[in-house]
Amino acid sequence: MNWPDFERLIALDVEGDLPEPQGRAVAEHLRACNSCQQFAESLKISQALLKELGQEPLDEPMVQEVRRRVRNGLASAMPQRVFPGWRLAWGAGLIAALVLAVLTLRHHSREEATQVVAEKSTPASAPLPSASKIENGDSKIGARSAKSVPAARHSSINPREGMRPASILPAPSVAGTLKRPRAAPPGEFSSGSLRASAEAQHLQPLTVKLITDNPNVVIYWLVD
Amino acid sequence: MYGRKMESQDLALTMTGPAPERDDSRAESAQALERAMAGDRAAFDELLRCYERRVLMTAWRLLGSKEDAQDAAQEVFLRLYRHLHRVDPQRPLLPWLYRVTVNVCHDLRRKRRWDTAIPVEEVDPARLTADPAGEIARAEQKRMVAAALQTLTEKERAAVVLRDIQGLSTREVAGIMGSSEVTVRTRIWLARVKIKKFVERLEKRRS
Repeated sequence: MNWPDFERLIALDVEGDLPEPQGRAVAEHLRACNSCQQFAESLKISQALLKELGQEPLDEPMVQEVRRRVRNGLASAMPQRVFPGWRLAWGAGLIAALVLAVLTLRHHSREEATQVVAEKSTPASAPLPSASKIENGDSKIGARSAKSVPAARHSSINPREGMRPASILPAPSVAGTLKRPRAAPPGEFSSGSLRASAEAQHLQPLTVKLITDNPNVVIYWLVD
Repeated sequence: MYGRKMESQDLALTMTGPAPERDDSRAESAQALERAMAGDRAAFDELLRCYERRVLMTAWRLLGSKEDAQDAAQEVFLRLYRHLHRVDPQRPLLPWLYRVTVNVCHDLRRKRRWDTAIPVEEVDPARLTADPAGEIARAEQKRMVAAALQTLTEKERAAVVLRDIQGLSTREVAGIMGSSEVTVRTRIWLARVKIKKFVERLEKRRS
């Protein structure tokens, strides 16, 4: 054992804070070590002084002053009462708030899902110059799509050339269900039929291949 | 196992307070507490008289100033009054009061932005003695120790005040401070050694 260890042990032993075996070991060491003995002696003196601090009498006026202040303070410090049902009320309120939050979230997510479906159904038409020609007359969707796609993104496409979805490759099982509308001329297709198809596929990933009249421009649209 | 270990339920009976107060047996204080909880002001006054000196002494040694100790003690008893419903009348009140006292003193120090510990060099030994030419009187030595207390960290001071000045066991101090016994023991031995060294250094500087 080195000196810091003994310092710690002696400082604890001086007030009986050591377990019996360690206390005995310290006592044995103290019998043999003069410097440790001196350390223990001076520690005992400072400890005695420290304890005397606790025995110092408190001035009576000081105590009375505290008493007076506390009594005066009691008038303004009302004891906080426990209402028997307050925990229950808090719990019920919390649960109600939680249920409300869940319902709101669910409603919100449904709305979002509807929007996603609508947006999935329109992207092919959005960048097209002929996007204004929407067969099913869903002007709301058409307007949103046209607004949401920046024009600069398709600046390399000649609007006059037009383009058409060459192939839409959804999950293999439904790949054949998406077809270019028969009646639509090149560069035009029915967003309504796409939307219906997307809904039918339950939001499965789609790959839309758009071929423009320019053979050098082929656009793949990956929809998650 | 330890020389000074006490069971917590015996705390109220075996506390060595700074001055002999009224006979605050546990049953008596528990009854007073129950009556106070029922709204009996006289019972609360009884509790106040029973514990005021211990709270005041603890606050004084923790803060080092009688005026601040008065403020702290006032706050402790007002907190007791406000939170009477939180106190379990079946358990001794004193540990609860000590815990609140330590917290209030901590808050007071923080509010007034005191340093946690005063460096030893800043303590002027000449100010501690009224008799520079004479021998060191016991009262002066005590003042040195009181000054030494203020050089400790807040946690060391709280541990040593509760353990050595208020005479609680290590376990009780640990319970009050929310620390482990090992931690409390470490703080205590560090504090004791620091106090001893502080007093020695002051005496050397003075001589």
